[in-house]
Amino acid sequence: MELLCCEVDPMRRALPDPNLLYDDRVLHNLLTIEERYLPQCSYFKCVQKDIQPFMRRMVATWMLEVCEEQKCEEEVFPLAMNYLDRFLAVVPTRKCHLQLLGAVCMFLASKLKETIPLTAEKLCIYTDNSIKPQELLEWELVVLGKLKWNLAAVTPHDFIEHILRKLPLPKDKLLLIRKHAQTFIALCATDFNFAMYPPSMIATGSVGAAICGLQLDDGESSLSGDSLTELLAKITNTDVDCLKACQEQIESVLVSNLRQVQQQQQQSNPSKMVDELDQASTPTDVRDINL
Amino acid sequence: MPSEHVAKQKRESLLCTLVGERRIGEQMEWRPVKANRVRRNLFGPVDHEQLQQDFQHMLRSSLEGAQQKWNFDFLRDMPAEGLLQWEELQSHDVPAFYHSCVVGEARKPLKPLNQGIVKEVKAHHFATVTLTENPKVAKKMSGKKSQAGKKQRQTSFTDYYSAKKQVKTNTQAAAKNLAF
Repeated sequence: MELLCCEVDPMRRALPDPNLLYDDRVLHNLLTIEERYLPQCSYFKCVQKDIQPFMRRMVATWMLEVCEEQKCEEEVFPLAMNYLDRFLAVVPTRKCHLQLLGAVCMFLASKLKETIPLTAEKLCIYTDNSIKPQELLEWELVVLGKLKWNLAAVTPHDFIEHILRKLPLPKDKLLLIRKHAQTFIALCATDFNFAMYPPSMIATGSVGAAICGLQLDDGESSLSGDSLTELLAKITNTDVDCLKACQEQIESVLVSNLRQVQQQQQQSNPSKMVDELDQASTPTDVRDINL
Repeated sequence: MPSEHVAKQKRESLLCTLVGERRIGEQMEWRPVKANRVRRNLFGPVDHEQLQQDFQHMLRSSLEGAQQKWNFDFLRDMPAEGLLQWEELQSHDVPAFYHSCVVGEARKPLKPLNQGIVKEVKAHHFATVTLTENPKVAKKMSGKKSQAGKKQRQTSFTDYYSAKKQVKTNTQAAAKNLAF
């Protein structure tokens, strides 16, 4: 008797739907409704007393790490951050409850987007068991109420394919561009400065930063500098100057994140990396950074 | 196994890879990095009592809000005084989608707004309540049913859900007035 063992990708996913992706009405609808899902205000100024911007960055970094370790779908993290920001914009929250809130937001986003969602137990373990599954489930109800059950928020990811298909990109680079754009979107979600930006602008800026970073402008003049920005701005009806500013901001977030990572590496391994740190302290171009 | 190649990828490796790829313009293999402890407590010990208090407070206020909006007492599962008229339907009169069900372990019931009438009940064979379009046709649910006869149920997600859904399908006019 012969035994056959086939490895199957455990995650079954639907094929991209051309009816959704190749129809401009979908893009226009996304652009019309995206503002509804933005947080109501810049909450560090007007709502929160106990929570400060650096704490949001801490919880966001942790959430991103959990999502990566659990190999969540790319949208889960930005969506969870959208829930977190919208909740914090209406509910003054204690610092010691912030991680619970982050876990609840991942729990909800994962349930909405994934075929096999994160479990409450797993998320509690990631908080080093500082919260209990029962508490997570209770707060899920509270968060849902405050979000008015509007969970299907528009995220930058919803725009990526719509933008990419309208650009004259080399087919073989498409995967890489998409991946870089997704990384930028995740980076933006960790940074509060982007929390009030419309998702379409973050998506457009991220695609722009990805293309510029990969220096794809060799043969294709429409992919270089200003003409790329204009092309991108037209696709999502974004103001050209806003888009430029957004793209620059994304680049600078990348630089500051890299510097942070290098500092951490240096702290844990002080003997080396001194040269690299010097180099990173005055970056002129991200491409010049040596790692 | 292929998953070993795609070793755990953290923020730093994500960024390193991105920058590396930017320099050479080609996709690189993920570099495994030292295991950074993802499992961690960020802001110190959690005051569980405080957490429970905050939860009770917030859920209560959201239930009060919902009660005002729909003039329905979600805790006792009874209509309250207000603009909307509620009519009781048997559960077999509504699509199965609206039937209540409890998956897994039941939630602890929330303490009601005014203490004293709390009853721990796990049954879920309650009547489904729906809105009707014409107040004249609607049977008014007056105090006919004694409270003791009607089991109180725990709050669950469906409390909010079924109410909203049914307003949408049954009373467009009411839904317009109560835009959410």
